[in-house]
Amino acid sequence: MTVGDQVKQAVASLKSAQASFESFALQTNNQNAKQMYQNAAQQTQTIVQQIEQRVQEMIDEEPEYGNQ
Amino acid sequence: MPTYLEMIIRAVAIFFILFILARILGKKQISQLTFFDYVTGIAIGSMAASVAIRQDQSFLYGFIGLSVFTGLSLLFSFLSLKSLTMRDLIEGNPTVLVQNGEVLEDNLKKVRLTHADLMMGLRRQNVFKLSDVETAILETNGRISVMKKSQNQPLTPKDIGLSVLEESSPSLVIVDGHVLEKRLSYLGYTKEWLKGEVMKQGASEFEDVFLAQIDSQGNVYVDLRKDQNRSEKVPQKPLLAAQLRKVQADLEMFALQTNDQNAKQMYYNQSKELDKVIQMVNPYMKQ
Repeated sequence: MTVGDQVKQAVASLKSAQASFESFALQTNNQNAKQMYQNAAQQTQTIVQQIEQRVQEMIDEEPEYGNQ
Repeated sequence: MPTYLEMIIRAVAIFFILFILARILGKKQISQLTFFDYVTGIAIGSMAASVAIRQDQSFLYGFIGLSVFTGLSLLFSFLSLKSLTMRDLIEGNPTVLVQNGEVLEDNLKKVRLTHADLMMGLRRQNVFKLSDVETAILETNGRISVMKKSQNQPLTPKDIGLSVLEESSPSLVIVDGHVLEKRLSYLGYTKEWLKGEVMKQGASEFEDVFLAQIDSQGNVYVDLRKDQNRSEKVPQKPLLAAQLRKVQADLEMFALQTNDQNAKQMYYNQSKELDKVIQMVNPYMKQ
């Protein structure tokens, strides 16, 4: 597995974590916990965006990463 | 009327009278009874018993005795509610037995406790060393309450500045296959959602579930009727926590691997951001 693939996998994991946070936020009735899960989902989203940008850069630099 | 018939009627009548009197006297726990409550209870009981089985005892007199005792107990508990001096007189005051780690021998003598009684009371509170005791108090019901010195008190999350999940009390939502719909809708969940949750945990119908409990996080714990068809369930939250930590480690690895300075910095920053997220959610990630 190339580094590119590993980075993509990390992005996928993060996205799944973000989705879990969102669903936990919906499930709980505790206002504190809800707020906390929403924050966590938002911050995870920011991280995902940063790393996705990097993935795009890698694809631009070395196109073979993109078509695997 | 044959004697045995009369005895049966007496016993039944006394049984119900006692039941009613007990309900009137209220639901003070046995452990909260003061000595006086205790002896009044015994007196009422023995009066009732003698009326129930002794033919030569007049039923009417027995009934009067019972009513007077109940009435007086009620009056006393009412008085001790209304007036502080009456309360001291009737229930007595708690007595301090140990203060600032010093055993107060005079007070021990006053309440006629031996050192062995004191030690027993302390041990029942899981205190075996006198040196651990800050204050010990003999309550009016005869129990000893202990406050340990602060360095011997159990460590709480607050002491080490740990943030923990605030949890309110969990509630049962399925009992013996029946969904408690009122409670479910009070908690803000729907029956359909609950069905999804119990199906995830191996039930195909509500009838398969013996007990289901929802905690304040929305986690559902399901106990199935047939214990053998329980499938091993994946703990969702610990799994998520592990996943996050793996990604964070990966990000650090990417930062080490790349030669691009910008990317290195970005990976490093994002790994730190992710670490913040992990720290924030950590208390919530326990099942």
